[in-house]
Amino acid sequence: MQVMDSATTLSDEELLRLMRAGEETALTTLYRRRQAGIYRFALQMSGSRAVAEDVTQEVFMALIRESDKYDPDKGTLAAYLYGIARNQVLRRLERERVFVPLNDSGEDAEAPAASNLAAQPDPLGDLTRNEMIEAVRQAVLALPAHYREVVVLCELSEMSYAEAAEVIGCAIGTVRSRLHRARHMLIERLRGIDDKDSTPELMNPARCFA
Amino acid sequence: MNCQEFEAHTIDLARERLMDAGARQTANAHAESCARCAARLADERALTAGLARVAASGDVEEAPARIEALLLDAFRASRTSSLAPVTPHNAPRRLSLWWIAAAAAIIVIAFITALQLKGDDAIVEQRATQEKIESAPAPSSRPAPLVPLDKQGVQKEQPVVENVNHRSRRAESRRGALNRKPKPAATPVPQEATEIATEFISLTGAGSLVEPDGGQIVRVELPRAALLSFGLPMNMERADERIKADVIVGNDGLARAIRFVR
Repeated sequence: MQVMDSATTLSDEELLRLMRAGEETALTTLYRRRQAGIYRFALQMSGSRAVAEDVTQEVFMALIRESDKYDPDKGTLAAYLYGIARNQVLRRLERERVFVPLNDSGEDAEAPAASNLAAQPDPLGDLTRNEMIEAVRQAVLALPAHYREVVVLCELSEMSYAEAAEVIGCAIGTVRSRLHRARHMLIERLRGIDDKDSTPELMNPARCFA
Repeated sequence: MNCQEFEAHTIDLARERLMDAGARQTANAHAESCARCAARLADERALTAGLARVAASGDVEEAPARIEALLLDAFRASRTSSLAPVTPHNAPRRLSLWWIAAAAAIIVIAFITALQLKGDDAIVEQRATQEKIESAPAPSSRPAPLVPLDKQGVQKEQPVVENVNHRSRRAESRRGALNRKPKPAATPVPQEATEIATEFISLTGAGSLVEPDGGQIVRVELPRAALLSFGLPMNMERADERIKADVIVGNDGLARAIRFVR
């Protein structure tokens, strides 16, 4: 118990070093510290609890099997673990197509609230709290994967642009621009625009000419 | 600040991120004076609020406890065994799938290799035949080393039998095909082996055809009518065809003797 208490104060990298030395407590501490974030990331990316469980398990299995692959010079251990999770999720999305996009009826159901998006101080106010959460969650899931991941990392996991860039392996500016576009897409989707092909750069014509 | 500049700050404003105080003040002032940008900011703020609620609703989500137990089992197994740790859950199935895939790949590769080798053998044999033909002396004026002449009249030379073990040749062919290098020609069968020639007819009237200091035999083609000039019979039906002849040329460049070849 005392070992566990002392382990919680150690950094991820120190825990990994102990884990490599065969210290089981280090693995437990590291897992408990990071599993929830990775599980939620996988869940919000895939919309599937089964996938999220598998991904979480795979991430830490990879750490047990190939902990020497982690290079501290390339980034934090947390970013490394999220990076494994990201690759696992994208691979599963590609392979299994577990993601179910929003159908038309789903969008229609959101339309009444979405139509008030700009007109009211609280555009989602017509929805109950649970309906609103579900509507936003579905809209996030409907985003293309590379936009979805920046929303999940920056908005839902509250990472900084730099941290998200480290996980994705791209420039900070790329994260910023993707997030900008992703938010445009979300607003348009929540507004209930049926045109799925509308690009985020396109503004609402009614507003442009106002 | 115009609308375009405001757009660059909209998300940071809506997310209430740290930004330059002056820029924030200017952006807020612009939003108060521009209805379009105010609506845009309201949209972004509403979205931020919605996303924050989604994030908050998911805060209770975490992996089930059994995963931790499975990972600990795997960790213990990896410590106690020098073998790779066994992945819980679907790992055995995945491992067996990998073995099946690997075995299938090996079978496919072996099959393709066998087909290629078979094809290569055929190609190499065909190439060897072609090289055999090409390596034979061409009917031209190419110099050939002087050879002792038989005093017999018309002689038929024995064909040279290729003395190459078939199995070793095949192996050599495979190596040649794998190395993608042109295979050296098999022992060439001289064209003379299939030729019939007359005896040499002296062109100088001298007794000896070959000078002590040697000379060269030059293969030439002549009009078939040349046979008549040496007192030899000619098939009139083939009068328009040419006939091959070997000419002994001395070191002084003068022709010493000639024989006709068929």
